[in-house]
Amino acid sequence: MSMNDIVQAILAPGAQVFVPVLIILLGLLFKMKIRKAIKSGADLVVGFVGMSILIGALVDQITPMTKKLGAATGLHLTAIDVGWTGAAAISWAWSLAFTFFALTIGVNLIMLILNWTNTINADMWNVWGKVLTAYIIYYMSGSYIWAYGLTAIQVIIELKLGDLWESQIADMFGYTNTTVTHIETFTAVIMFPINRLMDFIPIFNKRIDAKSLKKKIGMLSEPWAMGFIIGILIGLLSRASIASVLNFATYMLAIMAIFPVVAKYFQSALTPFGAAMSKYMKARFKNREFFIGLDWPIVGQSAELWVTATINIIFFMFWAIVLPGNTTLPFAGVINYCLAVGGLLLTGGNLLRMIVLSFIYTPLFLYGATFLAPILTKMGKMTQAIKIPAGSQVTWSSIEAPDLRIMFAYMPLGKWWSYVGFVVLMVLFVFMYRHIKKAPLPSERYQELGNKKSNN
Amino acid sequence: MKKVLICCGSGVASSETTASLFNDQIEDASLEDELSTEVHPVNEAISIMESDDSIVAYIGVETPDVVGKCEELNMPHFNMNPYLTFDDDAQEEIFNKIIEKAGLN
Repeated sequence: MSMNDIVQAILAPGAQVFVPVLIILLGLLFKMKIRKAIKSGADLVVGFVGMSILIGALVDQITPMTKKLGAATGLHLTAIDVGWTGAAAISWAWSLAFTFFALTIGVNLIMLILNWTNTINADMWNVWGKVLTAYIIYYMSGSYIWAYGLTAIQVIIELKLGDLWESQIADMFGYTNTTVTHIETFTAVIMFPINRLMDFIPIFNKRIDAKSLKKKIGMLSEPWAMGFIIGILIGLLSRASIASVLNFATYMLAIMAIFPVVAKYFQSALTPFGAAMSKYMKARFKNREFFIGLDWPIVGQSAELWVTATINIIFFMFWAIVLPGNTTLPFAGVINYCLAVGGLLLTGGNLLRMIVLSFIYTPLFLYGATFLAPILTKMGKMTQAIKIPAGSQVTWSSIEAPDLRIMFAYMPLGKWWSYVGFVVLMVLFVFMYRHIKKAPLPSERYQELGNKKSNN
Repeated sequence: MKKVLICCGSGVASSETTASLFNDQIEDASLEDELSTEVHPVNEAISIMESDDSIVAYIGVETPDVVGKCEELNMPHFNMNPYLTFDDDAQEEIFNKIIEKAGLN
């Protein structure tokens, strides 16, 4: 048996065999206890198989209903939204996924040594976001150089976002030296021009209290409730019988509630690595003041964020139905964190701005998801991470940084517009960065409603 | 069995990291038979606190309504940042406060 035969034997069964074996070996390399390393591997298997079963059930239920929807309304919403959890499962299944820990840390080290950033990205969970970008680029171009090169740019962008948000987060939430390095906040860049226009419109410079609204939304924002409501809505639009609408909606309720339960297994498998890598980074820069970059939930206490995300579900469904050429049916990704978190940080928690910006920018995500659907479907099939029946497509309705990722996908193919788009995004980023650094902090930026004193 | 409720945005990533580290603390203190963790999206936190009496503490995203509910139930609540930043000392402090309040020390 040659080395090649052994490699083939491990790769042939698909991601649910290969990736857990890899994580057990890596775990032992990082001096994990054998029992824990094996448990990590087992958790990954549960994640892959569980996600495959769940997406299978979702596709089985939703496909007949979207056919009815097509017949009743002429809408062709055939790309099924598996949310970020589905996209993450597909990404982690790529055989090169784990190399992106090294890329993320390597680029970060260089940026810190050169003093080009003050941020240490400790959010090792979202390494999968880099994997997804690279996998899309590799899928489009077949080139590893482009895949790793452009993804390194994403890592740099995330660090600069971290540098920018630290002062905003400190002002809004009182944490010091803690920031968000999530690429979803890149959506602030494309929202920046309209947000800048809003500076000149008085109504957008007053602050609305979101806390009481958040209380009113209450149960509606629980995953099962969203699943049920979307199920009822699609069922009614499809003009199915009441019995089948209710059957469908209860199924959607259950699937929406089970998604996080399954996706959790990926996280518990990967936590020991995140901890080891982050501790290494922190130890290396002990004597320097730096910001620790984390996942977005550190700003999740914001009532504005949840009110915006919940109201945006209505906008999402509305745009999905009226946008010409859209094929995405929002479901598992229907909470759009890019708009909610990006909007929160960009506007300093101005609820009215966040809601209006969400409405204006939702089409970007539906078109992004429509573009991504054939790619994500093929990627899922290639790694065998999830089983997708022939003729069905999967996608992710709230794909993070769709603008940037689409430019990245076409740059290796030499499409001139992708270079123009990339340069425009980077110029906007620089303008936004400079503007926010100069602008008053969120707590001083707006007038309280009913308070005559202007701080602007 | 007493439970600590741990919640982030979707109940998948940050909360599961926190739970995984908190479970290590439980194991180190040999309290596996007395204390466990439960992970959920933050939007379910209030319903769960209202329906499950075995929950003795909350760690996670501190939205105003969740904090309000914790205070109403006289339940200790903590931000999960020390777990996400791997701050061992602050983690120990949280753990000690929780087991003291739950009468497990």
